[in-house]
Amino acid sequence: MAAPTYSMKLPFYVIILTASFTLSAADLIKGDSDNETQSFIHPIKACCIGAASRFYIGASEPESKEFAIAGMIRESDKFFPLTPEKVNVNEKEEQQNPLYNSSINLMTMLCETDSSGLVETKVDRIAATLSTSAHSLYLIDSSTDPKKIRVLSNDNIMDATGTQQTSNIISLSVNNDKVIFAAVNDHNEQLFGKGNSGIAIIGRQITQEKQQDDTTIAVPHLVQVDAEPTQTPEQVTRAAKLNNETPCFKIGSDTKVEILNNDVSMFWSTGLPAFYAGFSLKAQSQQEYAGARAVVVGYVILNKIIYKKIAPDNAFDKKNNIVGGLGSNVTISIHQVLALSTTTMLNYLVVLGGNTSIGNTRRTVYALPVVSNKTNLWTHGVLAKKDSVPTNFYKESNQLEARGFIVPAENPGDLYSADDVAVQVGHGSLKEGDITHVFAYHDAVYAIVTHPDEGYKGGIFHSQAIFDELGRIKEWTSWKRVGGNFYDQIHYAHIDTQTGIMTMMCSTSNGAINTVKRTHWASGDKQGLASLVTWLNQKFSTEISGIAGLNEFTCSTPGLNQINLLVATGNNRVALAQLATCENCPLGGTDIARNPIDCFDGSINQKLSEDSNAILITGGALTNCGTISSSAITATGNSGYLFVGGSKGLAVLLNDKGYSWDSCIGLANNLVGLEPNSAFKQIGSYKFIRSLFCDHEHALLYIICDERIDRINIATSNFLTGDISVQTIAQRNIAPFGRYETFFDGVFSKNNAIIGTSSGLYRISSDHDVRNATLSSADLWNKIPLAEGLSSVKYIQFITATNRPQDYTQSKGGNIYVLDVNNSKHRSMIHRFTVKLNSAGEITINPLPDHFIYDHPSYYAEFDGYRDWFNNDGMLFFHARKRNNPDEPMFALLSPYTCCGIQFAGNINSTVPVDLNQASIIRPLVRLHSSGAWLLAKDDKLVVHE
Amino acid sequence: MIRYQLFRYIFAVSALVCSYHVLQAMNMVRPYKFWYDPAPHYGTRWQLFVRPEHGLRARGYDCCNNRVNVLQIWNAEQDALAMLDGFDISSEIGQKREQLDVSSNGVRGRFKACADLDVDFGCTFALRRALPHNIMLGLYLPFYTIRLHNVRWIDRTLNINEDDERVHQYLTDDFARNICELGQLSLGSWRRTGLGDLALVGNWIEDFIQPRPYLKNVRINARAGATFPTGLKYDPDKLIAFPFGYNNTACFLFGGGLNLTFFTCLHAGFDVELRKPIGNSFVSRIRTDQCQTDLLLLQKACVYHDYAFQQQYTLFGEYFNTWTGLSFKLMYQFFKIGDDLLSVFGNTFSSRTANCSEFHQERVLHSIITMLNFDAGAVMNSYCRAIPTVSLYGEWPFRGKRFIACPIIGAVIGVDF
Repeated sequence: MAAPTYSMKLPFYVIILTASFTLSAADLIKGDSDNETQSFIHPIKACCIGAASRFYIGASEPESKEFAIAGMIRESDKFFPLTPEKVNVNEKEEQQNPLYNSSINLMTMLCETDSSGLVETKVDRIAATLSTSAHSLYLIDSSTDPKKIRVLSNDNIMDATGTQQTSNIISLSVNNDKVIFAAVNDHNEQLFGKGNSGIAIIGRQITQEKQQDDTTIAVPHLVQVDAEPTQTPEQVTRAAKLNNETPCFKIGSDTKVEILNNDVSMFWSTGLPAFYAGFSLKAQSQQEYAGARAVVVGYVILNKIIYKKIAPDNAFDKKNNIVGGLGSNVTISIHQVLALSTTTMLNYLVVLGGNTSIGNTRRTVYALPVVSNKTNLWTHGVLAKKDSVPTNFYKESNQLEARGFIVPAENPGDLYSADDVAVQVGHGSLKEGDITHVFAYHDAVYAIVTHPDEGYKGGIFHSQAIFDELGRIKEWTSWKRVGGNFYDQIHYAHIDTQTGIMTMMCSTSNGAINTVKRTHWASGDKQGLASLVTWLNQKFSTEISGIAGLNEFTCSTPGLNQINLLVATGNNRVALAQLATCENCPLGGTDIARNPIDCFDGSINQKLSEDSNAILITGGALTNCGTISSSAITATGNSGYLFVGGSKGLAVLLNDKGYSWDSCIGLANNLVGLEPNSAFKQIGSYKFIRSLFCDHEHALLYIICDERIDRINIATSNFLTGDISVQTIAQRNIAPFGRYETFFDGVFSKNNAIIGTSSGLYRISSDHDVRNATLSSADLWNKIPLAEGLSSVKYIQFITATNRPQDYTQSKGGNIYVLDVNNSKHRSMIHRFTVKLNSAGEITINPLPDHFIYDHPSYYAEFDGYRDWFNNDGMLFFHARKRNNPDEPMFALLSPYTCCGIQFAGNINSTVPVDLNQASIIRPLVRLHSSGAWLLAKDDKLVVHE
Repeated sequence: MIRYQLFRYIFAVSALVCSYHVLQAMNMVRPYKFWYDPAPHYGTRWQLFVRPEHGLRARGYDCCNNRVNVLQIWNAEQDALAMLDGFDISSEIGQKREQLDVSSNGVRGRFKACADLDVDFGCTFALRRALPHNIMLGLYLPFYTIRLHNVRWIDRTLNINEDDERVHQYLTDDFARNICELGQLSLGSWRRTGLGDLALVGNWIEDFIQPRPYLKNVRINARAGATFPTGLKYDPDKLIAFPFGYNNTACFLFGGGLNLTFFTCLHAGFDVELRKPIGNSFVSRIRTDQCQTDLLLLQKACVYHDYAFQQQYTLFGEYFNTWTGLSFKLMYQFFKIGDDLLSVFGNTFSSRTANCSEFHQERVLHSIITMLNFDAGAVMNSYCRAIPTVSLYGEWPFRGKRFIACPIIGAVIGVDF
């Protein structure tokens, strides 16, 4: 896998950094429109992504002129036109461009490597079809220089007869760099599956042609090749036949399959390599054992396409097997297929859709393991046997080369059914609405909802894979909103894995897609969080080192009544801001941080106005808390509590009854429930509190501070009188912890706890319960070995099905990502673990199969220096380091190529375009559940990525 | 500026030699300083003299030749965070670093270290014997008492955020105790008294009388010798507790010069001396991270110290009065020590990192030396068996690099017999 050349990219990042701070919030990418609210005068539909995340769009209607196809590079905020009126067409200069002013039906991208120069570059070649000429295919050499734009065309794309022109090209896909796959209809049919429909192979072929002066030149052509593997005496160019009669679709001998529409989705899996095609079809049969498969695997061998069944007939059972099913009258709708190669080096087929017996197939996404065994092409690419053990492949030097499932599904019960949580991306269907588009990378799947159901807001949603100890996906996190854009109708999105920047195709209020927006790190979009960010930046100024802690509490937090609440903390101050009115209704624009109120003396010393939903409290007992970096909200009985902890102490907001608010009332919309005269009161004598954690079920508050971990029983404590029921459960200088031991991070889940300390990762021993453990308990804490580790665990990220860290022992158990550091030697690395629950409810914590050398368990990735924190969403792996003179602070993304077995991947980082010039401290990144925006608090200011 | 200082020193020493007795110095606690040796008298066999010295307040010169406090010659500030770098995480120091869990913002964990270094008293006893062929064999034994006092560690850590608070709480507020616990290093004052290295030097002198109008005599001298490790050793557990010699190793020295006599009252000449201490092994404090500063080194390790060549060049002029026995001598001296090389024993620590230390990089000192001599031989009867000589001198360092130097005032009281 070639590593990118980063030195070349540095100037570009500087440009994009500069650009991002000169643009207004949520960049609108300019096209041919002068309108401030839209990119293009004409609507757009098709799009594709080139090398270095270059983004191309195609107009869906004529009158687009030279912007019929337009491109945008990462470093620019403008589209450049790619269809000038006169271009070189098929090597003839100054020809009328067939794409000029046309409507583009389909687009896809050939990213060809050009090795002719000194530096190897990627050339973007866009393959496109026109609405007006559906049997023709065009290929454009993309360039910002109009003189270098060349168009190749092939007006005679044949169907599977090889003699007749197809009536319609309905879908396009490409392999790595050379071959275009086109799903073509029969010449007489308008529906795929009927007659001689099939998949054609078209390539860019170069021939040496003699000139008049006897010199030869290389002339490129767009050529269809004969893709049908069956022999014919004639020299014909055929698409490989794929129709209703193809055995790949049928289960049972007399089954009649009918492909229902032209929504054929094709995806080339580079990792396998093979392509998948998904269809919506129905099958009818009189037999008992009959049914249909809606996904076909295709291989290309010597330019011939070999179709293969995604799983053999025997593998299907009466259950809903997602890509196929049994029944006399079964309908399966696969709206989109794509392939996924996880960071544990295993391949999965991701499908949007399924058996219609589940109801609406537009809301379910599944990830199915596929066989990856290049030594056996008969099974390569087909669905793997459920629960089969992956095989590791090593080089001669014992270095890990690949991993894969090698056992195909062959018998009933070998296939996953739609009920298995291991395959349910998003842990179930997406309730916001039908999914328009799905994209995936590594361990993350993103789904776009363009038209949400009533009462919901659309946007982009994300789910992350949770692995078992063999690196197989055992579960997925629940759908969570990302991207920060909940106010536009988004039709397509792409995330640049080098920068984390998201590009979105949006429609305006009249429904026409004519806008392309790009997220960036700034003070927020005026429709998004701009008001909140501005308010917080005013209240947490650079002089007081900005915001020290950000915590979002979701609607499900006990003590909150149908609101999402942001608690921002800093030097002697706490700010509360409502983020959402309910789980599905994020606030933005003028609704967020509305009429904020300032309160002094650590108390709510004025009445909140009815339309206020943000409050800042300073002074009083908060002054004694120093720099407040953590907060917690919980409720027990009718009492809701807000705790905050800082460098000098712990405080709780109390009314005259001894709690923060009545949890039956609030905290509710517009912060109803906060009572005048409530004030913060200091508890105990804590110093350097790192984290506060609530066990809502048992009304426990865990306080992680530098030198100890305490557990406060909220139910039995009286905070008004200071009679606190507190128990220390871990302490410096008490075994197994050393004299200078420091407790950094931890999460408590029911009876279990995992903590990170300066001497490693610990869990509470299996025969103890953290809810009633005391220091006198023998062998209370067990150390979890970190393979080839450094042994100071600074930061822990929990990936759980519910997206709540404390649920790592729920369901099938979560994943734990651990930042292992050595401050003294400026090193840091990531380890990964999985939590496993056995039938008796006992918990084991096992490492993921990360290793580089045979039989040597190791870390996942090592950074080229010290890191303070990281944040991994399965696709983007952010990590950061504070300023450490003379080194500047850094905020970067781990190489997108990082996965298990890839050595030195942590040394290849791409800088995230955030202005860090004035910053020293970069606080951990927070992704809001409400809007999906990233919040990054630095000591100079807060920025949002939306 | 330098010229101004030079004249100021000359005037100052003129005043001092009148008001002080025999005074002493510190500078380089060098065992052998040939330029203070009284000239031998014809006809005598033995020369015995004592050279008491006193040093005025010492000053330092940093790597950029700036005059600084004696604790700032290697680093303008001391970095208490970097001090904890480079250690195994399971060690107490590694754990302390994790406990701090902060990064440097340019002032966090930084100290301005200041102290006064005084050489209260120093004295060299010397005995020289005239041998055939104009050779004088001398034995020199110095003795010093030096103190570092008024040590101040000025914490530059701010009090803005929790990182600052952590540094105050865990490190800098009780800095001396923390350093002592972590590295057994005392940051306080000290007084050290002890012998310097014994020197044995043979000096050959030959006069070549010149029958010329101005140049009357050319005196050539050459010398060779060695020092022996009798001096107080370097104490790694105290701040800049330098050795009173070559730290438990011998040193060879070679030198020579030319002394021209013009008319009947002027001398002028030059002298070159080279020294090469023999490398030795001892326990020293070493850097474990390249960013560390040299007063705050917590790691002690056995190192082999390969000493660099030491070069000393002296130019002088002297006015003397044959009839009264008085003479006044003015010298300029340049002293340079090259880069020493440390080799750490074992594989636990990196020699490359250890060699990043400033304290064994090139060191340079420029000095002016003034000397007023009274040679009783000029006024005494030539039949006297013992001829006393008295000299008052001042040594005035004015420029340097990575050097602690103090102005020295001293006297030489000797007798030839």
